[in-house]
Amino acid sequence: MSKKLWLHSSAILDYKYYVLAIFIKALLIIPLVFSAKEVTLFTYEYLVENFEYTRVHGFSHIQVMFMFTCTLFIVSDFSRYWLHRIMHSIPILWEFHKVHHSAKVLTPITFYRIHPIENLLFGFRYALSAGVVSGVFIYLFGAMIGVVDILGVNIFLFIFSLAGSNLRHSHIKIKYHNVLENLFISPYQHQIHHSSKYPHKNYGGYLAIWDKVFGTIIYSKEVKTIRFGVAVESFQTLSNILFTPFISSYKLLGKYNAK
Amino acid sequence: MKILLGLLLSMTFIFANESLNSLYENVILKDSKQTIIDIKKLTNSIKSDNIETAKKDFVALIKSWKSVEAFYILGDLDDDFLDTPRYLDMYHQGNEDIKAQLDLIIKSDEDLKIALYKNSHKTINALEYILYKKDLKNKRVKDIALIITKKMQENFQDILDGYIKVKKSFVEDEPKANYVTVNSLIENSYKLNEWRIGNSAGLSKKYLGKADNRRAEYYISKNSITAIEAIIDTHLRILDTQKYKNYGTLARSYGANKAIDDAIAHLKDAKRYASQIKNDNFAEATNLYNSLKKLFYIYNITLIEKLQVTSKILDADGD
Repeated sequence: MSKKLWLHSSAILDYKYYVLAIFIKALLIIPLVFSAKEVTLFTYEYLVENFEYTRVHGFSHIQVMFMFTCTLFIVSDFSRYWLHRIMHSIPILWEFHKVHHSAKVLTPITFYRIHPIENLLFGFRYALSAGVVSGVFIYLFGAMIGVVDILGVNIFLFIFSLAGSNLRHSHIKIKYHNVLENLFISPYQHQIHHSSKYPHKNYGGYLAIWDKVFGTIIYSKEVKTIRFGVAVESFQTLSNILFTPFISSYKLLGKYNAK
Repeated sequence: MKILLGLLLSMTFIFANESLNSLYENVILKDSKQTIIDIKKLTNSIKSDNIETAKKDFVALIKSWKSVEAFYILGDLDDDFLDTPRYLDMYHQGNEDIKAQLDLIIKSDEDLKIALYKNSHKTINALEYILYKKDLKNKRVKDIALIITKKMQENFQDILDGYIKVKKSFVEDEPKANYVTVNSLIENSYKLNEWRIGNSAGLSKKYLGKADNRRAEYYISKNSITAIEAIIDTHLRILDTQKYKNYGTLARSYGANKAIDDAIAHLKDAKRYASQIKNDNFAEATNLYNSLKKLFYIYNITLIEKLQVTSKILDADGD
């Protein structure tokens, strides 16, 4: 990526927002979101109370870890697809998600250009999906569960990082073959999602299956050139990013009430 | 730096290995050997027609067997031994009425080797019925008791031999030792609380408000609280500070001090409450039940925190 892109005003805003977001998350988001640990315990206790204690035998430790890691990945990616889609489909939520789509240039830091309200929703999604899966697996296998990792990193994150997932927010056009793009979202497919023309396509996080099944997929070969950023000019400063979505959604609510 | 790191890792490994070895020797193998000593004593008392001594020996056997059962991990280390406890103990397994079956066998003149064909006929529960409800002076009853103790001794020997055979796979594989131990503690604390106490005291969901002492594990001989105390003691021997290193030592070395302290406190409370219950009357078991319910909760919380699964998951928070 050229120096011009790294120093673009949109990229510089991303860097500033990244620092600010650290404090917002620590002070506002984390205390508000219930943790995956609490959901895990709640799920586990619910299962024990209602279906009695059980323990599944016959699987090795590595088999259980592999099943857990896969289930967690699939459930997490599925919930991520739907929350992302909902952020696009419900007008009030789209006002908040626009923040992310307002970037004129993409750098890996753009990943963090997320409004705190969206952070909050993704925090709940994470706690629910990871907590329920962990609770069910602990109910079935107890202390046998664990995450398969490579060098301390979740194996799926590791593999997708090698496949270029960290470059989804960049101008580097990594495309997969069509067959593979039915299964996994290529970095370029996500860049298409950030285009002003196809923002409501390719919602998937890592898997493209959900887009394929629910009819929102678009392949790399179908889009030759991309212009990034939705047509919104009101996200030029940090305060714009933080407060404009509230004002816009308040106005939207006013319109609904007037109708 | 690399040498220092290597040294640190080997020290951690040696420490874990030492604690696990000590736990295996001082709890698992010691208890397994004790069951064989106790069943032999009981057999001799039955052979010598000393009924009162036999009953005392039976109580000792309950204690040692419950200790083995409370921390039975052999099935996790070797699949061939998954079902062995079922051959020894039929508590909370099916609705078979062995009392009626044993009565019929006693009345009949069928060869006992054929008549006592079921595993359930040769369990500790069958032995309890024979010792406490039947007349050991009757030759056929005595023969039944001896067939049961013989079979139980064989099963106890199988367990001891099995443990000796798979010791390495526990002591030298710390992750495995960890999940096997934690799973065993959790499973046993659930069964202790819900089956052995809650169901009799009418505190479990299944029998809420319908207390009935006849559901107790050793209702016939009134040794149910003795069994519960033996199980609580085993948990304490696994976790509480002893003359030997144990799982508590290992868990503390990983910083689980609070969890271990809390678990020990609830176990000691439970032990105190258990000792206050007279004549196996589970109507007095509310405090015992509540205390062990908290223990089950602590074991699970600790497990969830130890696994740290939620921190290793995909932490993407946007798109």
